[in-house]
Amino acid sequence: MKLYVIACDKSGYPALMKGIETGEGTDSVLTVQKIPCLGLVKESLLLETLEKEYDGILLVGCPLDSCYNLDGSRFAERRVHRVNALLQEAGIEKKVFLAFVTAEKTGELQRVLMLARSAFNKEESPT
Amino acid sequence: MNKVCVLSLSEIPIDLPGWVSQAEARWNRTIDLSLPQNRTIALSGPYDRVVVIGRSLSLNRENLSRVCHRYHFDPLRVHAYPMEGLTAMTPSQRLEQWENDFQTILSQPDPGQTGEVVSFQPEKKVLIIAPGEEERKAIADELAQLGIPSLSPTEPFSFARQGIQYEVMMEERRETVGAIAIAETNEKTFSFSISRETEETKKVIEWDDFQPRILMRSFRLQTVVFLVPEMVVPPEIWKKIFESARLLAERDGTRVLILCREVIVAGDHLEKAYRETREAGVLFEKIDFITLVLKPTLDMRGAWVDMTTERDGMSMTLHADWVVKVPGFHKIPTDFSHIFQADRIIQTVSRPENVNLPPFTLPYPGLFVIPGSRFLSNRSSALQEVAEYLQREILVEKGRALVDEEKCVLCLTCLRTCPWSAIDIEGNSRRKKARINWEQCHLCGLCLSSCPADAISLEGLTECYEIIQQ
Amino acid sequence: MIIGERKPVKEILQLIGDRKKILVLGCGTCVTVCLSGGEKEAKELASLLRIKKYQASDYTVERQCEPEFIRPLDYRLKEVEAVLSLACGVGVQALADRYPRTPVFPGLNTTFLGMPVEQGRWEERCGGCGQCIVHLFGGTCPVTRCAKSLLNGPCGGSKDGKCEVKPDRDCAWQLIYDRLKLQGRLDALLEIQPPKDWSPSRHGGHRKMIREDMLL
Ligand code: SF4
Ligand code: SF4
Ligand code: SF4
Ligand code: SF4
Repeated sequence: MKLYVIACDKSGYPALMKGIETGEGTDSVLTVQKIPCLGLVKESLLLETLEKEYDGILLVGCPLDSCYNLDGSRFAERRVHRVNALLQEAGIEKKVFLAFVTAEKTGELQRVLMLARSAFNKEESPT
Repeated sequence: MNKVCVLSLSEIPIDLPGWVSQAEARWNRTIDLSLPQNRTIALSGPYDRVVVIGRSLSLNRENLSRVCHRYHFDPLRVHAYPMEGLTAMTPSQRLEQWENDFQTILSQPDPGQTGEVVSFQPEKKVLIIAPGEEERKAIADELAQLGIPSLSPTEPFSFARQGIQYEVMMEERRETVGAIAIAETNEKTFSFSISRETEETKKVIEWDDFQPRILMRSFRLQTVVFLVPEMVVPPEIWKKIFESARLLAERDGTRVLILCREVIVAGDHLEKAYRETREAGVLFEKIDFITLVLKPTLDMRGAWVDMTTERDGMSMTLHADWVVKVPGFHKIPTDFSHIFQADRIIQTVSRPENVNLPPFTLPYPGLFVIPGSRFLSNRSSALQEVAEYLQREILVEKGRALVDEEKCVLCLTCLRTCPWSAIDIEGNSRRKKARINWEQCHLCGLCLSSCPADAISLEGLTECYEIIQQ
Repeated sequence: MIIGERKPVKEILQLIGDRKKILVLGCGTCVTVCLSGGEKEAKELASLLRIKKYQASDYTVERQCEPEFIRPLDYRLKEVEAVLSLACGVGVQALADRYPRTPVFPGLNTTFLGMPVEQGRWEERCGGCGQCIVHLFGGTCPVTRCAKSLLNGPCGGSKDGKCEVKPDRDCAWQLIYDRLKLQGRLDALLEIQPPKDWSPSRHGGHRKMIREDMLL
């Protein structure tokens, strides 16, 4: 599974780095992009990334109600829903995942990574 | 020859001093090193590239701004390098990884323009907006004790943003203030909506109208339902509710039902009053108001109350002769929208419940909400916060967020979505466009991602690294 | 402004069929402002098509409904098998008129003339009936905003100020009543409105407007 990770520099990035440092469940992380806030991610950035060889994208950022820029995570959540709906409508087997973490709590990150892994493995095995 | 600076914020597991000499030869650059142990060495910019190494937690934009300001780096040429990616490998692998990434950083295209971190100190003066003369004076006095002059004009006056400061326009003069203190007021609310048909029975009445009636007439053997849908109901009102309910039950044998989200018993003698009220036969029921339905009875002399109790999830219907609406309070800043001149329409300004924001602030820098006089202890800490804000140096990055004039179609999306209200409309003619005020902009990029015309750009705010799989 | 909504992706893929070289063409005016067919959406759709292995490119012009703005597309259109236009129906037809050999597909459903009531929510305000009569109704158009287009309303279904057909929308007649009451002009409602003259509307064939003095 090739995953492109976009992380916000307030919580997502430190959490991700912590995960990499301790080696917990980040074996599939490939490219990491650091951005100031998840609200900066627009749909076309997600889709253009998926045009490349990545299977999926993982966004990691602050929890909804404590986003540093107030609405950033909320925007990201809606955009991820929208892009996933577009991909599904078009019958494309790629997906965008979203994990809300804080710099200390990285458990959610592992949960989402596991989810991503199982989603792709399921699709790969039968065909 | 191009100059590069490598600055590490903490100890890193690579021997940088040993690496520099061969790196300078390999890449044909001058490399200045600034490590925690030799910070005193003077850096002599300008640099073509700056690499800041540190723990990822300290590499957020605000921190990098600070570093740029301190060492006079151009923020557009600064690259943040997280040291966590390096730790899990052997020393030679680490060096290899670092050199690869260093190469990547060097090979990135030149930003083509220059940026700058500018520091500001807001004007040490506060505008006070509060409903009453008395309250204005109280806040002004307390500010004076902190050594901060203030301004509390009476209307008519208006104010507008001017960078991160505010310009106050009064009848005969104008003044610039660095912060605004807005008193918080309590607004009555009643959030459960009752259908018109039910209201038309005339048996749904406001709490304030109901109170005098209790003394004037008898409610013998009738059923009275109190609706308390708010969470914030002051203890004084609860006390009155207890008294009235008990009086009705004991004097007239009225069946009284109090529907609420929460009963507040923290207050003088409230607990006792609550117990006595229940002993008098008054029923209290906690419900979820979403499940509550009121319908008029056929004869229009009362209402059917349909609800589900929180306790056991049972739904029940009962007939009420009277329904009393008990309001709660909602704390909001004094309404300043009519005197605030801004392009963005402000409907209501409420304080976001967000742990990342300092308490007492609104999503506009420099606007502070000062708790109403009922919470005096909080007021001083709020004013303390204002004082701290005025002392602080504010760092902003110039030249990062830009609107492309040619592309902007003035759809107002960015103006409406910017969480920091940093965008206004520029130009007097018909050919207007959106403008980002860089003093206010927090460089979050929400506007960039919402703009349908792709007209907004943020320079150099993303960093991308390949992480080697283990 | 003109409001449009993107067609479902399935439908778009069906329209395109097995053509591979596609130009997704956004329009920089009405549909940009209602966030359905501007540069951003054109980029998204082109990207999506590329993931589906089409050779899609995107471009956005100022206004697709003006020949001057679409003329510079001549060379771009030579290279593609079809155009997916994200403009309203007017833009689609302007393109089709200019490039009769290239199939032009609509990527949007043009829905109505309306305005944003708040960020992200648009509502219809005018049906283009050809003879405006809003002044009789306190500035609220019953032709568009009343589900039954009643000129002598309300119907019996108005409930709590909401329309019985679409309960999430305001009853136009409640708005009319409230506004006239505010202006102290309730007596205006006593007058019975005669049946509306629909001849200036769509039913008499497609309409045109001429300003003789402006003709060249
Ligand atoms: S969102 Fe873009 S097009 Fe719209 S006003 Fe802002 S900069 Fe202009
Ligand atoms: S980058 Fe963020 S703070 Fe700056 S103008 Fe855009 S939305 Fe506002
Ligand atoms: S083509 Fe349609 S959407 Fe584009 S400018 Fe013309 S009327 Fe507006
Ligand atoms: S009366 Fe006709 S022209 Fe006037 S607003 Fe209504 S639909 Fe439009």
